[in-house]
Amino acid sequence: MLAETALWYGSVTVVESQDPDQHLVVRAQAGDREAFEAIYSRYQGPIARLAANMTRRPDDAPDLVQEIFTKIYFSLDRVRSDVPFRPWLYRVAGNHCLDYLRKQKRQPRTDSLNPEYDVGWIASTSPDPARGSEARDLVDKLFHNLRPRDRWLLVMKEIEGLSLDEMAAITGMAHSALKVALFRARKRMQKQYQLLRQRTTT
Amino acid sequence: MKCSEFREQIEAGAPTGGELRHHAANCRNCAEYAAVAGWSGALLQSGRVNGIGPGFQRLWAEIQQRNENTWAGALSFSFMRLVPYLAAFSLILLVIGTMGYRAGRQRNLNTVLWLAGSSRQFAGTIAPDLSKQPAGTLGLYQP
Repeated sequence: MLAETALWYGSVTVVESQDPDQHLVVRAQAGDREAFEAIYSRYQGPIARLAANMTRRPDDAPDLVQEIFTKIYFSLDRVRSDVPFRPWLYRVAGNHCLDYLRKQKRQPRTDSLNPEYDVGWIASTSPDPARGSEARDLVDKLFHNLRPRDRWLLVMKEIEGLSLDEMAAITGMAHSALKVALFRARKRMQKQYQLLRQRTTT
Repeated sequence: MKCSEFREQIEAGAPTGGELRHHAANCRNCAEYAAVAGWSGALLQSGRVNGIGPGFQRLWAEIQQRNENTWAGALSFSFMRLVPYLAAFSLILLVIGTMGYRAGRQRNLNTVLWLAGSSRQFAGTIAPDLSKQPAGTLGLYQP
């Protein structure tokens, strides 16, 4: 995360930006294996979670993470020192997963929910961990019919818990555009949910 | 409170009480925005899956293999960063070299022409008039 320190020198305010990853990136750019390993151990968890949730294929996550970090290694020389590393990393990972999703053959699914599932609890705002497998199955089905970009935005916001500032840095979108895109993605997911419930009840 | 502020706070995960609740009660669109955000957040949190990355050794082996397979990968990053500068420098050298070569060729041609012109003149100046008899040339010939 970008740490900002404001220092007051007489009449001049100096805003000093310190990216905690910057020294590791500089060392990795010089070919330091340990620095790259430190970057990897810091980010492989969040990136694996992002990939698994965007694609809804946890088994593919190791391969995706390997491809993403290989791409990152060979693109390190393009990282500018004045740009925070973390949003760049998330952008590379997100774009890689979007490419992966676009390459998948889109097969329309006519799945219905398992009739034994009671998904009414989802209307409440408190998640129920005991219903994890039902919820995972439901999200799999809902995501299957969502656009890849909607998945990306929803995973970054709802699962990774990124702030609007971070998402703006990653996607290059303004706050207002992001809020609209998030609202539309959520509504589309909600519509899919309603269709799925209708199919189940009929 | 403006709608944009309300939505910023909803996205920041602010507790929906006090001013937020008051705004939602008076703005149908924002109330819907908050409800859909809450529903979506709860669902995706419950339905999230976990993924793990490969061990670093496996990743590093892949990187090394790609490094060996690509000639560019064999170059270190520090050298890779020099490549555009080296290319620009080589181009400048090429341009200077080409201009120098052309100028040199022109100079050589001029020299050759000058020498050719001089030798013709030289030859015309001291070449003996073979139509004259040797004695005439020496001023001894008396017709």
